[in-house]
Amino acid sequence: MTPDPDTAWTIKAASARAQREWEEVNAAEPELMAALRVRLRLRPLDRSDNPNRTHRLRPPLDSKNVDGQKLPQWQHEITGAGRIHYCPDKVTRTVWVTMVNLSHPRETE
Amino acid sequence: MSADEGIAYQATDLARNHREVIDAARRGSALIRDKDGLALVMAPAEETRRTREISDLALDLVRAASVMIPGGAARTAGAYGGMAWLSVLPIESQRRFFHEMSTALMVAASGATLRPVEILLGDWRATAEAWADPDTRERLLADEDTPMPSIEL
Repeated sequence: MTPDPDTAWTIKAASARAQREWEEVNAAEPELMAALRVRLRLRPLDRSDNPNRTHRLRPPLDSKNVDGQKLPQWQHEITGAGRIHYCPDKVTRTVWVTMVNLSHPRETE
Repeated sequence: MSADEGIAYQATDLARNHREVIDAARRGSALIRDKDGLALVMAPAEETRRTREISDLALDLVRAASVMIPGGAARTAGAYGGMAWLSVLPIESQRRFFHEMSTALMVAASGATLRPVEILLGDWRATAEAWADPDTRERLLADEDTPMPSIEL
């Protein structure tokens, strides 16, 4: 599904490091990242399809300052071990990507 | 004709009036008394599963709460029982989890869907997972002062 440019969110990197991580994961898993990109552009706050994979983080990780703005912090499970963290800005409809990796170093039991 | 209305079916009703018994069970629950007097309940499986999940989570929560209170048990992961993952979070966050989960469970126990409980639990587990890794924690806590606004991913 192609996102409608009038309503789609814009995805941007919150840091040069996050941008580099996005590009590295994109090179390693292009199909996975294409699907993720569509998801983030269409519905970054929606978890109705799979509530176990998309989470709004709770304190003390519930928010983050991006360029001076305090924004909520979300996480989506790309794969069993892969995670993307992002801060959606509802006002500008921008998804600020803060961290991407395919192998989360530690998972709680 | 449900168990709540105080009508007990006999075991023989399962053969003679099975439709009536099943309809009562579908409406909520049907009490069936066996020949030796033992009371049995027939109810929708989904409702039974829901009730069990709520009670299991409430029990886990009580166990975890006993660790959170001042003077409670030592805060080892094992002391948290089924919520051992919670032990990695700061105590203030643990207490907040307790309050949020207590409220969500009470709402669910009143007959609402369990989905909000599942979502809340998932959010907190994801938070604990991220918090448990020092590198991830540091990244997620840090301010982002130099975003890349001109580049669209």
